[in-house]
Amino acid sequence: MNDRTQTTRRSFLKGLLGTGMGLFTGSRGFQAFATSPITVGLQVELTGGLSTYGYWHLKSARAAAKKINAEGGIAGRKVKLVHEDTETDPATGSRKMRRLVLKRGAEFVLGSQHSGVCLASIPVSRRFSVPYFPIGEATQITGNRGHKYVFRTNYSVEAHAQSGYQWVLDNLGTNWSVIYADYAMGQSALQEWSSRLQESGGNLVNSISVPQGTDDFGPYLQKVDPDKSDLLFIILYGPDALGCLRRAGEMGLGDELEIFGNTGSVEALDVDFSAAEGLWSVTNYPRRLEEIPGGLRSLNGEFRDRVGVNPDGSGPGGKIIDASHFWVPWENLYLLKRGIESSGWGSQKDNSHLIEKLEGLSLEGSLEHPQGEKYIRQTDHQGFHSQYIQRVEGGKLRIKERLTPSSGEYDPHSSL
Amino acid sequence: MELVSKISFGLLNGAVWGSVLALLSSGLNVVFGLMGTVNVAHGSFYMLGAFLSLFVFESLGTFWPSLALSPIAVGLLATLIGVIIRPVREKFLVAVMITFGAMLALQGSALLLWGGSPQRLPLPFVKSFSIFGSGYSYYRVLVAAISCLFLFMLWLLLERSNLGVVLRAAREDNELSQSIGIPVQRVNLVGFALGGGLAGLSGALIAPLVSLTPDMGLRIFATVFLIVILGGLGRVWRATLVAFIFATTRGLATAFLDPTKGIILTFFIAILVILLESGTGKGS
Repeated sequence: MNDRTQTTRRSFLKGLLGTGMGLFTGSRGFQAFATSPITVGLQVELTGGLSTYGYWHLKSARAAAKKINAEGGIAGRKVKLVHEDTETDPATGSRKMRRLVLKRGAEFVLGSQHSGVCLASIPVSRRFSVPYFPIGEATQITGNRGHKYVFRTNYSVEAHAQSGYQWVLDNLGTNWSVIYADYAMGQSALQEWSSRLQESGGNLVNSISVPQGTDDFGPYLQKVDPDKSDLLFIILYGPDALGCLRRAGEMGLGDELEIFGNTGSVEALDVDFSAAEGLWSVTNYPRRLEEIPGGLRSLNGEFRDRVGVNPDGSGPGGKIIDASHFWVPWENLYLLKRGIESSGWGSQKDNSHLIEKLEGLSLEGSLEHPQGEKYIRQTDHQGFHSQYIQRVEGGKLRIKERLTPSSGEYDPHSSL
Repeated sequence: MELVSKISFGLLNGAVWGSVLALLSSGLNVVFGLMGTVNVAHGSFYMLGAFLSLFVFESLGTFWPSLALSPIAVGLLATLIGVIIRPVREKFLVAVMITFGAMLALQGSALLLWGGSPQRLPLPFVKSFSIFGSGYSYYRVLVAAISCLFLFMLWLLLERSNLGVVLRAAREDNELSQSIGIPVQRVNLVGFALGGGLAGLSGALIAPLVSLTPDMGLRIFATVFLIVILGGLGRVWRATLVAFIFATTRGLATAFLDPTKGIILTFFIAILVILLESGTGKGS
């Protein structure tokens, strides 16, 4: 045996010491990795036109992160939630998306409610290979503008129309006058609903575009001819929806026509006023706890408690939830948890495994997914879930029909 | 018949909105046109007037006191801002930045106090009449009447009282005015209070007719600013004329055209009328 390779007592002890130190420092490094938090970015509208939505989205995401961390985190790692205000502006939103990723270390980003912000942020997600979960409803987000890092678990404008148009035709009439917000979301919704109306033999009597921020709806509503229309379809949100409803009431249109609104028409709006009485609309989720189907009701009670929402759908200071969307950040954080834990995700290099696990995923209604059952289409990463038809009766929103997740399925516009 | 209906509705509705725009722009014109200070917070004063009406309604259960309380409260706030910018009033950009800051502060405060959800104030009375089958609230007519009354009172104040004379004198030559004993600083504060009060009154009047949001002042400010510029700085009556032309043309154009074309046509007609009205085609 060569002297140089011979093991002496001294060399053995040295080796033992070295191995021990190596194992010690290695385990500390592993431990540090295992316990380092997973940073999740939240791109949220805290100021500007959609601040009502952003207020609830932040509460919802924070409540989910708190619960997850209290129960041991995701794969043993804590969730660190960081957020940035988009100011409801696409240019600012895109800049904040970069900031979340580059400055604040976000490994995933839960996205904005504003479709313009989402569309402006999708290229950032692609550039830095960051999984992105937008909420905005523009069809293009999971259509020709989407890519493999983009997942939208809530309905698009097209899914709403696909799911709801037949019910509206069968129950509210076939001659529609549509008043819509004159920007991307309004134009897109007009296209999706009216094309289906006309393909089914219905009649688009009039389509009336309205600039955002309109105070005086009189001249626009004057174009509606009650003799030729069965239905006034409102594709507006926030102050515009409220202004339109009130003026329609003052002009007596509610007495002559059925009025139907898109999801935004009653979001976060107190509907206890005479002009809103009888208004129909679609929603992803009932505002009032007692309207939630029996099997989901008790777990939704706990979900609402954790977010800070009363059974009537309001929170601190009487702020009313954006019922169609406030649950999405909560659900998306739990979707991430499921994806990370099932794929063994450890860092960004494992993103492709995570994406594979999320594609085509079916989810049951649970505390983690309180809105109910849903699935994510593998082809375009678009989610499908149930939606509801509701009506204002006695100053309260009452559910009249539940439409199944498959009712919203439309032909995908992309194949990822 | 349909044509007559649309034109009648457009004219009446234009007159109502025109009167409110005229009242709001006259407040800006007093501060900007007569005193030379660009008050970017003017739209926020209007918003504050509207939200104060909501506050009064929720506190007292009636809307009417807000027609007095909102202008007084907003006028006092405007005076305070006038005091703050007094040392830098001659520095155009600094004054703009301060009033811009005030606008953001007021908007943020409204967001904190009332939230981002659109708020509504019920019509003070629900009676309405019919214009070719379309309901039209009497309250709208009352808004136009009150606005016109205050515009007339403003005319008396500016054209038939000493205050109007000293306001213009202070604007023309600050030092000379001071040398003949005009308390220029105090006169300017009165101008601020008057401008703020008119914005507060406009907001209070319009509150039951629109959705109340913290950014409602920002939305209307661009229109009011253009009205003042088109009418001519310090020329309250020409700005009033522009406001009526703007609102009426917009209402009529919207009834027959799409809104974008309607707005372009509206401003085109307003500019044309002002050029014709000024006689030489150059304005004066």
